[in-house]
Amino acid sequence: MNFKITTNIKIITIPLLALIITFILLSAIENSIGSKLHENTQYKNTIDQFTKKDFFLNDFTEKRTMFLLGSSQVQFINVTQVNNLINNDDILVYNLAITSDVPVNRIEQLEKIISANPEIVFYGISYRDFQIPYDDELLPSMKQINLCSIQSNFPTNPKFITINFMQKITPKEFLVSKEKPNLIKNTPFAEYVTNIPQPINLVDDERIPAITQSWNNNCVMYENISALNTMISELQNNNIKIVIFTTPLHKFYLDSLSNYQKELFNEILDNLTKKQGVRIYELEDKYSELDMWRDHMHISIHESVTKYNEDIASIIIKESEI
Amino acid sequence: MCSTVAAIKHRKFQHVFLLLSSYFFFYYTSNYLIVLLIASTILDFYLGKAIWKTTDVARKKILLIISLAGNLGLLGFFKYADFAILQFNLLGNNFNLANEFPFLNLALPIGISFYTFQTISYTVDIYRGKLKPSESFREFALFVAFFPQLVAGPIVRASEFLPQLRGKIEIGGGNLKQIIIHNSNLKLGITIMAFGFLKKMFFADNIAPLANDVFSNPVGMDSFTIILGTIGFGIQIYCDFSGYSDIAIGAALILGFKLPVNFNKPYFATSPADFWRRWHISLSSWLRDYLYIPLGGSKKSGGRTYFNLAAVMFLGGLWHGASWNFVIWGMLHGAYLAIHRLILDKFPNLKDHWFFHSKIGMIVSIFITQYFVFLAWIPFRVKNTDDMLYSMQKYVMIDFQFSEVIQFIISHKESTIILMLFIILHFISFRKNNLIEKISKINLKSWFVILLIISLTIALFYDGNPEDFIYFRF
Repeated sequence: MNFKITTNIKIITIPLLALIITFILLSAIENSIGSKLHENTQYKNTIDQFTKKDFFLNDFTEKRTMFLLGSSQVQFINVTQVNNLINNDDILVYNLAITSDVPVNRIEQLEKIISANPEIVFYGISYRDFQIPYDDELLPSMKQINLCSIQSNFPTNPKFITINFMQKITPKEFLVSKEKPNLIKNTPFAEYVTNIPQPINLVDDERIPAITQSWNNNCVMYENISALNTMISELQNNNIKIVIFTTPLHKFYLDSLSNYQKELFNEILDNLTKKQGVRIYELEDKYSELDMWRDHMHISIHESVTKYNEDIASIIIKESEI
Repeated sequence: MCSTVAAIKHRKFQHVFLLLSSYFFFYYTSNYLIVLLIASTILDFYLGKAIWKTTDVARKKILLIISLAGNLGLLGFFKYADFAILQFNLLGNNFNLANEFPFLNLALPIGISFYTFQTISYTVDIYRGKLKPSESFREFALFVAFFPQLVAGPIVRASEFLPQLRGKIEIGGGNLKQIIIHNSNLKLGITIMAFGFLKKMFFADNIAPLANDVFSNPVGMDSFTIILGTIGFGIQIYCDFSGYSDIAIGAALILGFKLPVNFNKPYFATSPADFWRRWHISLSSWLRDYLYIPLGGSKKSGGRTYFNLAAVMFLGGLWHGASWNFVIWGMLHGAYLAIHRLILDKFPNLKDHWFFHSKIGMIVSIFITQYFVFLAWIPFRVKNTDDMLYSMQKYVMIDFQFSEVIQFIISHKESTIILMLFIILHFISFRKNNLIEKISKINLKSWFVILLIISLTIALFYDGNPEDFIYFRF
């Protein structure tokens, strides 16, 4: 019998060629423009939004300085309330939270943090800081570590580069909100909206599983664990005490996490305690069913919400007296 | 060695290979639930043969009923059991009954809504004498499990697919006809797939954040923000679903199989009936042929016709999922169809009125139709009754507040720009008929440039967190 495929080989080759060229261009863009964007000027140019000068050039010797580090989940700690609750003129707490902060970014600021010589650094961490994969179907850890250096050259979020590039080439005033940001004292790197809304009743959102289940890159997790461990070691070597707290999460968010993610996160915390000797305060489910939320990951910073600030103040008082 | 090569070249081997690949594809996504697919296949293969062979009308009917009960029972059990238990428990609570039935927590087998409808069409067409049953289990199993359309359609009729399979094999004297993958099929198939990926990964996935941010908590939002979110979701679901259909159709075409078109510019429909001739065509035509017409269609009295329309759309809504919001969506469309029918019945001259055949009349018809179509997307999208009632109220009774929507657009610049780009491109493709076919016929250099632009566009806006296909849930 006769069997004949009468295809033109070019028709098959052309789409493959298009895909290969796309991949090469994307990798080239990631490694050129992307790496510059990922440098993240927020960490290099640590400009205080109040003074418009480098925050770390301030004089921190007059008082016992405490730094809060973390992402937006720490940003919504009202440090003015915290300082008032501590009610000690010798102690001044600064909230150095940066939106979307992760340890691999924060470590770029480490030298400056050490130069400021704070007494204690309180670092708020959560699942998103490590992007713990949803399940353990990935390659075994050793193989994954070996692949991480290769994977880091793969474009993982091209949209980030595209959007940032477009923002850079469009006029600054183009489609920018004219609303002035609300600045809270001693929070040099974060902005808040002018009209802070009241806490809202949250619904079980189908997007949360999509977020917590989308983490599937062991390399991201290992890199952030490694960065955090390095920061802890360096701070301790410079006689700066570091205390970890896990940031609060709403019940619906916690329910979206797999058992694997919860176990791995606990393992990360255990290692921090046992190997680095760091004290950890676990707040992730402390307010999970209370009525004090801005969204599933963030406590509201509305003035009526005080519980989070009170607990942070208590932790600071306790640790500063030890 | 020669016998191995000969075996690989053999057409039956290729069909078996395609069948096993389809089963592997299904197993990879659904694991042990492949048993249901195979059970449904076996049931309808043998029932189809039995229906064809028997001449006794009553026996034919009984066999058909067994097939329907088997398929619908499977679908009903896995898809609606927990929903029924929930409603029963809620009813029980209202009457203060102490006991609650526990949920079964059944996994929804992927594609079950699609392949059960396909096998139903097979046995019904045999019963009606329109289709000869498959002699070969391999052929029938491949029809049911064909991987491009297994998971989310298009719903293929046996009468459309089996002749394509049979036409590739002429059994006569032991000689088998060649299977030929044509250049034109390959090029067209790849082009269709490329545009499918563009619709899904560039348009749908990048517009999704806009719709998600509106409907995650719509209560308190202004009318124009709700309307923008509704338009965003309408475009998202169209690009998501039609994108998947294009990928399935293109993949099948590369393999030499023509699957039915599933979408035909539904957002340019000029009436509710026209919308359902353009949206999810394989489902709407299935409902028409296997539900609406057996119920009497439009051949009965006016009231009965309206009831038939409402009933079919009620079931069509329920088909989408075990939730009242889908039922409400279906019933809204049923109401639209019934009212449209009623108006045409009362004012038959309207159909041929010059205004509705003029350009302005068509534009007015499109806008009015789409106003109601997008209104119906609200219950489809929201999570609870409060969100639905609030959003629909704000959609209908516009408050003419602008400040929030302007801020919303500014904070969702990228999604809004992509949404507007889609509207412009979609309008262009509406004006230029068969645009994708024309693109597939251009010279290879130009074709390469277009494919490169498509893949770069998708890649540059890929954020590493792709959204699931919406219709995979059904």
